[in-house]
Amino acid sequence: MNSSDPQGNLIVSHVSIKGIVSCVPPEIKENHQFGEFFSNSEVDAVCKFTGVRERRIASENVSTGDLGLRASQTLLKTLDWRPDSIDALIFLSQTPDFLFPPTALRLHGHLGCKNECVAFDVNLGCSGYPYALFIGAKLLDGMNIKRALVVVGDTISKVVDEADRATALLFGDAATATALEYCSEGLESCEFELGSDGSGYSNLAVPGSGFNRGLADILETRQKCYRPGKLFMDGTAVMEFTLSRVSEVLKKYLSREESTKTDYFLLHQANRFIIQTLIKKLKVDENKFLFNIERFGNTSSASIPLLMTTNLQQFRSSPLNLCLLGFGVGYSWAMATITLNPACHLEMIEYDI
Amino acid sequence: MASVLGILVRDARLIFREAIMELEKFYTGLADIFEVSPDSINENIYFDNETFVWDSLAIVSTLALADECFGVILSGQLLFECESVGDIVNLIEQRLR
Repeated sequence: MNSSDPQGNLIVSHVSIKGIVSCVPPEIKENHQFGEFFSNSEVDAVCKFTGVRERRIASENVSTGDLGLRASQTLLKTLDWRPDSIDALIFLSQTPDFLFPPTALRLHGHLGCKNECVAFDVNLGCSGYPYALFIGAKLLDGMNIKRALVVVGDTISKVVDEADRATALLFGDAATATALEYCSEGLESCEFELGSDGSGYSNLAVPGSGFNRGLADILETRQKCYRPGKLFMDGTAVMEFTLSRVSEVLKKYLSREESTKTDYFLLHQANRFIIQTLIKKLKVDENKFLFNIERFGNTSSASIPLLMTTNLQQFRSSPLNLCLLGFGVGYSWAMATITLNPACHLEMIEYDI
Repeated sequence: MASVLGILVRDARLIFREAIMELEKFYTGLADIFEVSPDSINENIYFDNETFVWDSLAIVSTLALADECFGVILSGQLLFECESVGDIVNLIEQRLR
Protein backbone atom coordinates (compact mmCIF):
# COMPACT_ATOMS: atom_id res chain seq x y z
CA MET A 1 0.00 0.00 0.00
CA ASN A 2 2.98 2.30 0.29
CA SER A 3 4.87 3.15 -2.83
CA SER A 4 7.41 5.51 -4.20
CA ASP A 5 6.85 7.68 -7.25
CA PRO A 6 9.44 8.27 -9.97
CA GLN A 7 10.72 11.38 -8.18
CA GLY A 8 11.51 9.22 -5.19
CA ASN A 9 8.87 10.76 -2.94
CA LEU A 10 7.03 8.68 -0.40
CA ILE A 11 3.39 8.09 -1.10
CA VAL A 12 1.04 6.70 1.51
CA SER A 13 -2.48 5.87 0.35
CA HIS A 14 -5.75 4.98 2.12
CA VAL A 15 -5.30 7.80 4.63
CA SER A 16 -8.08 10.18 5.55
CA ILE A 17 -7.66 13.20 7.82
CA LYS A 18 -10.91 13.31 9.77
CA GLY A 19 -10.30 16.36 11.91
CA ILE A 20 -7.86 18.76 13.51
CA VAL A 21 -8.38 20.65 16.76
CA SER A 22 -5.84 23.16 18.00
CA CYS A 23 -5.72 24.43 21.57
CA VAL A 24 -4.08 27.67 22.68
CA PRO A 25 -3.84 29.41 26.06
CA PRO A 26 -6.37 32.26 26.38
CA GLU A 27 -3.83 34.82 27.58
CA ILE A 28 -2.77 37.17 24.80
CA LYS A 29 0.66 38.77 25.17
CA GLU A 30 1.11 41.77 22.92
CA ASN A 31 4.66 42.45 21.87
CA HIS A 32 4.47 46.17 22.59
CA GLN A 33 4.11 45.23 26.28
CA PHE A 34 7.75 44.15 26.27
CA GLY A 35 9.01 47.72 26.53
CA GLU A 36 10.48 47.06 29.97
CA PHE A 37 13.04 44.56 28.66
CA PHE A 38 13.86 46.19 25.33
CA SER A 39 13.63 49.69 23.92
CA ASN A 40 10.51 50.52 21.92
CA SER A 41 12.53 50.94 18.76
CA GLU A 42 14.09 47.49 19.28
CA VAL A 43 10.65 45.93 19.75
CA ASP A 44 9.38 47.72 16.63
CA ALA A 45 12.35 46.59 14.53
CA VAL A 46 12.05 42.96 15.64
CA CYS A 47 8.26 42.86 15.15
CA LYS A 48 8.51 44.41 11.71
CA PHE A 49 10.97 41.68 10.79
CA THR A 50 9.17 38.69 12.35
CA GLY A 51 5.62 39.87 11.66
CA VAL A 52 4.57 38.94 15.20
CA ARG A 53 2.10 41.29 16.91
CA GLU A 54 0.78 39.07 19.69
CA ARG A 55 1.14 35.55 21.04
CA ARG A 56 -0.52 33.06 23.36
CA ILE A 57 1.59 32.12 26.36
CA ALA A 58 0.75 29.16 28.59
CA SER A 59 0.51 29.85 32.32
CA GLU A 60 3.02 28.19 34.62
CA ASN A 61 0.70 25.28 35.41
CA VAL A 62 -0.20 24.47 31.82
CA SER A 63 2.00 22.08 29.82
CA THR A 64 2.09 21.00 26.20
CA GLY A 65 0.42 17.76 27.28
CA ASP A 66 -2.43 19.70 28.95
CA LEU A 67 -3.13 21.66 25.76
CA GLY A 68 -2.82 18.47 23.69
CA LEU A 69 -5.17 16.60 26.01
CA ARG A 70 -7.88 19.29 25.65
CA ALA A 71 -7.47 19.33 21.88
CA SER A 72 -7.73 15.51 21.81
CA GLN A 73 -10.81 15.39 24.02
CA THR A 74 -12.62 17.96 21.89
CA LEU A 75 -11.62 16.18 18.69
CA LEU A 76 -12.73 12.72 19.85
CA LYS A 77 -16.04 14.07 21.10
CA THR A 78 -16.76 15.95 17.89
CA LEU A 79 -15.91 12.97 15.68
CA ASP A 80 -17.75 10.62 18.04
CA TRP A 81 -14.62 8.46 18.32
CA ARG A 82 -14.55 6.32 21.44
CA PRO A 83 -11.11 6.40 23.11
CA ASP A 84 -10.93 2.60 22.85
CA SER A 85 -11.25 2.83 19.06
CA ILE A 86 -7.81 4.50 18.79
CA ASP A 87 -5.08 2.06 17.72
CA ALA A 88 -2.10 4.43 17.76
CA LEU A 89 -1.31 7.59 19.71
CA ILE A 90 1.70 9.69 18.74
CA PHE A 91 2.83 12.73 20.73
CA LEU A 92 5.38 14.96 19.01
CA SER A 93 7.04 17.85 20.85
CA GLN A 94 10.30 19.40 21.97
CA THR A 95 8.73 20.58 25.19
CA PRO A 96 7.10 17.41 26.54
CA ASP A 97 5.58 17.17 30.02
CA PHE A 98 8.49 15.08 31.31
CA LEU A 99 11.83 13.68 30.26
CA PHE A 100 10.04 10.43 31.01
CA PRO A 101 7.45 8.94 30.98
CA PRO A 102 6.46 9.74 27.42
CA THR A 103 3.67 12.31 27.35
CA ALA A 104 1.86 9.99 24.91
CA LEU A 105 1.34 7.60 27.83
CA ARG A 106 -0.06 10.34 30.05
CA LEU A 107 -2.54 11.18 27.27
CA HIS A 108 -3.26 7.46 26.74
CA GLY A 109 -4.16 7.14 30.42
CA HIS A 110 -6.21 10.34 30.65
CA LEU A 111 -8.15 9.66 27.48
CA GLY A 112 -8.84 6.06 28.50
CA CYS A 113 -7.35 4.34 25.48
CA LYS A 114 -7.13 0.54 25.28
CA ASN A 115 -4.07 -1.58 26.14
CA GLU A 116 -3.60 -2.64 22.52
CA CYS A 117 -3.05 1.01 21.49
CA VAL A 118 0.49 1.80 20.34
CA ALA A 119 1.71 4.99 22.09
CA PHE A 120 5.03 6.81 21.92
CA ASP A 121 6.71 10.26 21.79
CA VAL A 122 8.69 11.79 18.96
CA ASN A 123 11.22 14.58 19.54
CA LEU A 124 11.10 16.97 16.58
CA GLY A 125 10.35 20.65 16.25
CA CYS A 126 9.43 22.86 13.32
CA SER A 127 9.45 19.99 10.83
CA GLY A 128 7.27 17.97 13.20
CA TYR A 129 3.74 18.17 11.83
CA PRO A 130 4.30 16.77 8.32
CA TYR A 131 6.67 14.26 9.98
CA ALA A 132 4.00 13.13 12.47
CA LEU A 133 1.45 12.82 9.65
CA PHE A 134 3.94 10.61 7.83
CA ILE A 135 4.48 8.37 10.86
CA GLY A 136 0.75 8.17 11.60
CA ALA A 137 -0.14 7.47 7.97
CA LYS A 138 2.52 4.77 7.76
CA LEU A 139 1.20 3.03 10.86
CA LEU A 140 -2.32 2.70 9.46
CA ASP A 141 -2.63 -0.76 7.94
CA GLY A 142 -6.38 -1.27 7.87
CA MET A 143 -6.15 -4.35 10.03
CA ASN A 144 -4.60 -3.81 13.43
CA ILE A 145 -4.28 -0.06 13.13
CA LYS A 146 -7.28 1.74 11.67
CA ARG A 147 -7.28 4.94 13.68
CA ALA A 148 -4.38 7.11 14.79
CA LEU A 149 -4.44 10.16 17.04
CA VAL A 150 -1.53 12.48 16.31
CA VAL A 151 -0.86 15.11 18.98
CA VAL A 152 1.66 17.79 18.04
CA GLY A 153 2.58 20.91 19.94
CA ASP A 154 5.00 22.97 21.98
CA THR A 155 5.19 25.44 24.82
CA ILE A 156 8.49 27.05 23.82
CA SER A 157 7.76 29.97 26.20
CA LYS A 158 8.97 27.67 29.00
CA VAL A 159 12.52 27.63 27.62
CA VAL A 160 12.75 31.10 26.09
CA ASP A 161 15.51 33.37 27.35
CA GLU A 162 13.62 36.58 28.25
CA ALA A 163 16.76 38.65 27.71
CA ASP A 164 17.29 37.39 24.15
CA ARG A 165 15.68 39.82 21.75
CA ALA A 166 15.75 37.31 18.89
CA THR A 167 13.53 34.75 20.61
CA ALA A 168 11.75 36.52 23.49
CA LEU A 169 9.35 38.26 21.08
CA LEU A 170 8.89 35.40 18.62
CA PHE A 171 7.54 32.21 20.14
CA GLY A 172 4.00 31.32 21.12
CA ASP A 173 2.43 28.20 22.68
CA ALA A 174 -0.07 25.78 21.13
CA ALA A 175 -0.86 22.09 20.83
CA THR A 176 -2.98 20.27 18.28
CA ALA A 177 -4.68 16.92 17.76
CA THR A 178 -5.23 15.31 14.36
CA ALA A 179 -7.40 12.25 13.69
CA LEU A 180 -6.22 9.90 10.94
CA GLU A 181 -8.28 6.97 9.68
CA TYR A 182 -7.58 4.15 7.26
CA CYS A 183 -9.98 4.33 4.33
CA SER A 184 -10.22 1.27 2.10
CA GLU A 185 -12.18 3.05 -0.60
CA GLY A 186 -11.35 6.20 -2.48
CA LEU A 187 -7.96 7.38 -3.54
CA GLU A 188 -7.02 9.64 -0.70
CA SER A 189 -3.26 9.67 -0.54
CA CYS A 190 -0.57 11.79 1.00
CA GLU A 191 2.85 12.38 -0.44
CA PHE A 192 5.88 13.13 1.69
CA GLU A 193 9.38 14.36 1.33
CA LEU A 194 11.48 14.20 4.47
CA GLY A 195 15.08 15.13 5.08
CA SER A 196 17.75 15.77 7.66
CA ASP A 197 21.04 17.63 7.97
CA GLY A 198 22.52 16.95 11.38
CA SER A 199 25.45 19.29 10.74
CA GLY A 200 23.13 22.07 11.94
CA TYR A 201 22.10 20.48 15.24
CA SER A 202 23.85 23.04 17.42
CA ASN A 203 22.24 26.10 15.79
CA LEU A 204 18.81 25.75 17.38
CA ALA A 205 18.97 24.03 20.71
CA VAL A 206 18.49 24.11 24.46
CA PRO A 207 22.00 23.46 25.76
CA GLY A 208 22.02 21.80 29.16
CA SER A 209 18.49 20.45 28.81
CA GLY A 210 19.60 16.80 28.78
CA PHE A 211 22.67 14.87 29.77
CA ASN A 212 25.20 15.95 27.18
CA ARG A 213 27.81 18.61 27.95
CA GLY A 214 29.28 18.71 24.45
CA LEU A 215 26.80 21.16 22.99
CA ALA A 216 27.59 23.81 25.61
CA ASP A 217 31.30 23.30 24.90
CA ILE A 218 30.72 23.80 21.17
CA LEU A 219 28.82 27.06 21.75
CA GLU A 220 31.53 28.30 24.11
CA THR A 221 34.23 27.52 21.55
CA ARG A 222 32.26 29.46 18.95
CA GLN A 223 31.87 32.34 21.43
CA LYS A 224 28.10 32.20 21.27
CA CYS A 225 25.97 33.64 24.04
CA TYR A 226 23.70 31.08 25.62
CA ARG A 227 22.12 30.29 28.97
CA PRO A 228 21.95 26.67 30.15
CA GLY A 229 18.39 25.35 29.97
CA LYS A 230 17.32 28.20 27.68
CA LEU A 231 16.68 28.29 23.97
CA PHE A 232 19.68 29.18 21.80
CA MET A 233 19.12 30.23 18.20
CA ASP A 234 21.78 31.18 15.66
CA GLY A 235 19.45 33.18 13.42
CA THR A 236 21.93 33.76 10.60
CA ALA A 237 22.83 30.05 10.39
CA VAL A 238 19.12 29.17 10.28
CA MET A 239 18.66 31.74 7.49
CA GLU A 240 21.51 30.13 5.52
CA PHE A 241 19.78 26.76 5.91
CA THR A 242 16.41 28.15 4.80
CA LEU A 243 17.78 29.93 1.73
CA SER A 244 19.69 26.86 0.60
CA ARG A 245 17.98 23.64 1.69
CA VAL A 246 14.36 24.66 2.29
CA SER A 247 14.36 26.71 -0.87
CA GLU A 248 15.60 23.65 -2.84
CA VAL A 249 12.84 21.42 -1.46
CA LEU A 250 10.16 23.94 -2.41
CA LYS A 251 11.76 24.66 -5.79
CA LYS A 252 11.79 20.95 -6.61
CA TYR A 253 8.12 20.67 -5.76
CA LEU A 254 7.23 23.79 -7.77
CA SER A 255 8.98 22.35 -10.84
CA ARG A 256 6.49 19.48 -10.88
CA GLU A 257 3.22 19.53 -12.79
CA GLU A 258 1.18 18.60 -9.68
CA SER A 259 2.24 21.77 -7.91
CA THR A 260 -0.05 23.84 -10.14
CA LYS A 261 -3.01 22.09 -8.49
CA THR A 262 -1.93 23.23 -5.03
CA ASP A 263 -4.54 25.58 -3.59
CA TYR A 264 -2.49 26.71 -0.60
CA PHE A 265 1.01 26.48 0.79
CA LEU A 266 1.20 26.28 4.56
CA LEU A 267 4.76 26.86 5.67
CA HIS A 268 5.95 26.59 9.23
CA GLN A 269 5.43 30.11 10.61
CA ALA A 270 9.12 30.60 11.42
CA ASN A 271 8.95 34.35 10.90
CA ARG A 272 7.41 36.51 8.20
CA PHE A 273 10.75 37.61 6.73
CA ILE A 274 11.92 34.03 6.09
CA ILE A 275 8.68 33.01 4.36
CA GLN A 276 8.53 36.21 2.29
CA THR A 277 12.15 35.78 1.25
CA LEU A 278 11.33 32.27 0.00
CA ILE A 279 8.26 33.54 -1.89
CA LYS A 280 10.35 36.27 -3.54
CA LYS A 281 13.25 33.94 -4.36
CA LEU A 282 11.04 31.29 -5.95
CA LYS A 283 8.71 33.81 -7.62
CA VAL A 284 5.53 32.14 -6.44
CA ASP A 285 2.11 33.71 -5.99
CA GLU A 286 2.09 35.23 -2.51
CA ASN A 287 -1.70 34.85 -2.28
CA LYS A 288 -1.29 31.08 -2.10
CA PHE A 289 0.66 31.34 1.16
CA LEU A 290 -1.24 31.50 4.44
CA PHE A 291 -0.08 33.39 7.52
CA ASN A 292 -1.21 33.67 11.12
CA ILE A 293 2.13 34.57 12.68
CA GLU A 294 0.92 38.10 13.53
CA ARG A 295 -1.61 36.61 16.00
CA PHE A 296 0.18 33.53 17.34
CA GLY A 297 3.92 33.94 16.73
CA ASN A 298 6.11 30.96 15.94
CA THR A 299 4.45 28.00 17.67
CA SER A 300 7.13 25.52 16.63
CA SER A 301 5.69 22.08 15.75
CA ALA A 302 2.10 23.33 16.17
CA SER A 303 2.30 26.15 13.64
CA ILE A 304 1.06 24.28 10.54
CA PRO A 305 -1.96 22.52 12.09
CA LEU A 306 -2.78 25.73 14.01
CA LEU A 307 -2.73 27.58 10.69
CA MET A 308 -5.07 24.97 9.21
CA THR A 309 -7.60 25.54 11.99
CA THR A 310 -7.40 29.34 11.89
CA ASN A 311 -7.12 30.07 8.16
CA LEU A 312 -8.83 27.30 6.19
CA GLN A 313 -12.37 27.54 7.58
CA GLN A 314 -13.47 29.95 4.85
CA PHE A 315 -12.47 27.66 1.97
CA ARG A 316 -14.37 24.55 2.98
CA SER A 317 -16.84 24.07 0.11
CA SER A 318 -14.62 21.76 -1.95
CA PRO A 319 -11.57 19.53 -1.37
CA LEU A 320 -8.37 21.50 -0.86
CA ASN A 321 -4.97 20.50 -2.19
CA LEU A 322 -2.42 21.61 0.38
CA CYS A 323 1.33 21.66 0.54
CA LEU A 324 2.58 21.63 4.14
CA LEU A 325 6.25 22.39 4.74
CA GLY A 326 7.96 22.32 8.10
CA PHE A 327 11.65 23.08 8.62
CA GLY A 328 14.05 23.96 11.41
CA VAL A 329 15.53 22.33 14.50
CA GLY A 330 17.97 19.58 13.62
CA TYR A 331 18.18 20.62 10.83
CA SER A 332 15.15 18.64 9.80
CA TRP A 333 12.52 19.30 7.15
CA ALA A 334 9.33 17.62 6.03
CA MET A 335 6.87 18.34 3.26
CA ALA A 336 3.45 16.75 2.95
CA THR A 337 1.07 17.23 0.06
CA ILE A 338 -2.42 16.29 1.10
CA THR A 339 -6.03 16.67 0.07
CA LEU A 340 -8.31 17.98 2.77
CA ASN A 341 -11.96 17.05 2.42
CA PRO A 342 -14.71 19.54 3.27
CA ALA A 343 -15.94 17.04 5.89
CA CYS A 344 -12.66 17.30 7.85
CA HIS A 345 -13.43 19.02 11.15
CA LEU A 346 -11.27 22.09 11.87
CA GLU A 347 -11.53 23.97 15.15
CA MET A 348 -9.47 26.13 17.51
CA ILE A 349 -10.19 26.11 21.24
CA GLU A 350 -8.69 27.81 24.30
CA TYR A 351 -7.66 26.21 27.58
CA ASP A 352 -6.36 27.39 30.92
CA ILE A 353 -6.47 25.89 34.42
CA MET B 1 40.99 38.80 -34.86
CA ALA B 2 39.82 42.32 -34.35
CA SER B 3 36.17 41.22 -34.41
CA VAL B 4 36.84 38.50 -31.82
CA LEU B 5 38.45 41.08 -29.61
CA GLY B 6 35.47 43.37 -30.23
CA ILE B 7 33.07 40.66 -29.08
CA LEU B 8 35.19 39.99 -25.99
CA VAL B 9 35.25 43.68 -25.11
CA ARG B 10 31.50 43.97 -25.68
CA ASP B 11 30.82 40.86 -23.48
CA ALA B 12 33.07 42.21 -20.76
CA ARG B 13 31.18 45.50 -20.87
CA LEU B 14 27.84 43.70 -20.62
CA ILE B 15 29.01 41.64 -17.65
CA PHE B 16 30.46 44.79 -16.08
CA ARG B 17 27.22 46.70 -16.62
CA GLU B 18 25.17 43.84 -15.14
CA ALA B 19 27.43 43.70 -12.12
CA ILE B 20 27.06 47.47 -11.65
CA MET B 21 23.27 47.20 -11.81
CA GLU B 22 23.26 44.38 -9.27
CA LEU B 23 25.55 46.37 -7.00
CA GLU B 24 23.20 49.36 -7.23
CA LYS B 25 20.27 47.10 -6.32
CA PHE B 26 22.33 45.71 -3.45
CA TYR B 27 23.16 49.18 -2.15
CA THR B 28 19.50 50.20 -2.38
CA GLY B 29 18.66 47.09 -0.34
CA LEU B 30 21.31 47.95 2.25
CA ALA B 31 19.89 51.49 2.45
CA ASP B 32 16.49 49.95 3.27
CA ILE B 33 18.05 47.76 5.95
CA PHE B 34 19.79 50.73 7.62
CA GLU B 35 16.85 53.05 6.86
CA VAL B 36 19.02 55.65 5.12
CA SER B 37 18.91 57.14 1.61
CA PRO B 38 20.47 54.96 -1.13
CA ASP B 39 23.14 57.55 -2.01
CA SER B 40 24.58 57.36 1.50
CA ILE B 41 25.71 53.75 0.97
CA ASN B 42 29.20 53.11 -0.38
CA GLU B 43 32.15 50.81 0.23
CA ASN B 44 33.66 53.16 2.81
CA ILE B 45 30.72 52.99 5.19
CA TYR B 46 31.88 51.50 8.50
CA PHE B 47 29.38 49.99 10.91
CA ASP B 48 28.68 51.81 14.16
CA ASN B 49 26.21 51.77 17.04
CA GLU B 50 23.93 54.50 15.73
CA THR B 51 23.07 54.62 12.05
CA PHE B 52 24.81 51.62 10.53
CA VAL B 53 24.08 49.07 13.25
CA TRP B 54 25.41 45.67 12.19
CA ASP B 55 23.20 43.51 14.42
CA SER B 56 21.61 40.09 13.82
CA LEU B 57 18.59 41.60 12.05
CA ALA B 58 20.85 43.49 9.64
CA ILE B 59 23.02 40.43 9.04
CA VAL B 60 20.08 38.09 8.35
CA SER B 61 18.53 40.70 6.02
CA THR B 62 21.84 41.12 4.18
CA LEU B 63 22.16 37.34 3.76
CA ALA B 64 18.79 37.32 1.98
CA LEU B 65 19.66 40.44 -0.02
CA ALA B 66 22.96 39.01 -1.34
CA ASP B 67 21.12 35.87 -2.42
CA GLU B 68 18.49 37.98 -4.19
CA CYS B 69 20.96 40.26 -5.99
CA PHE B 70 23.85 37.90 -6.72
CA GLY B 71 22.49 34.39 -6.15
CA VAL B 72 25.09 33.66 -3.47
CA ILE B 73 24.43 32.43 0.05
CA LEU B 74 27.06 34.00 2.27
CA SER B 75 28.29 32.51 5.52
CA GLY B 76 26.53 34.13 8.46
CA GLN B 77 29.70 33.82 10.54
CA LEU B 78 31.84 35.66 7.92
CA LEU B 79 29.16 38.34 7.55
CA PHE B 80 29.20 38.79 11.31
CA GLU B 81 32.92 39.57 11.11
CA CYS B 82 32.45 42.33 8.48
CA GLU B 83 33.27 45.85 9.63
CA SER B 84 32.22 47.83 6.57
CA VAL B 85 30.10 47.72 3.41
CA GLY B 86 33.39 47.15 1.54
CA ASP B 87 33.98 43.98 3.57
CA ILE B 88 30.57 42.63 2.50
CA VAL B 89 31.28 43.46 -1.16
CA ASN B 90 34.61 41.63 -0.87
CA LEU B 91 32.84 38.57 0.55
CA ILE B 92 30.39 38.58 -2.35
CA GLU B 93 33.23 38.96 -4.87
CA GLN B 94 35.05 36.01 -3.33
CA ARG B 95 31.92 33.87 -3.59
CA LEU B 96 31.26 34.94 -7.21
CA ARG B 97 34.81 33.92 -8.20
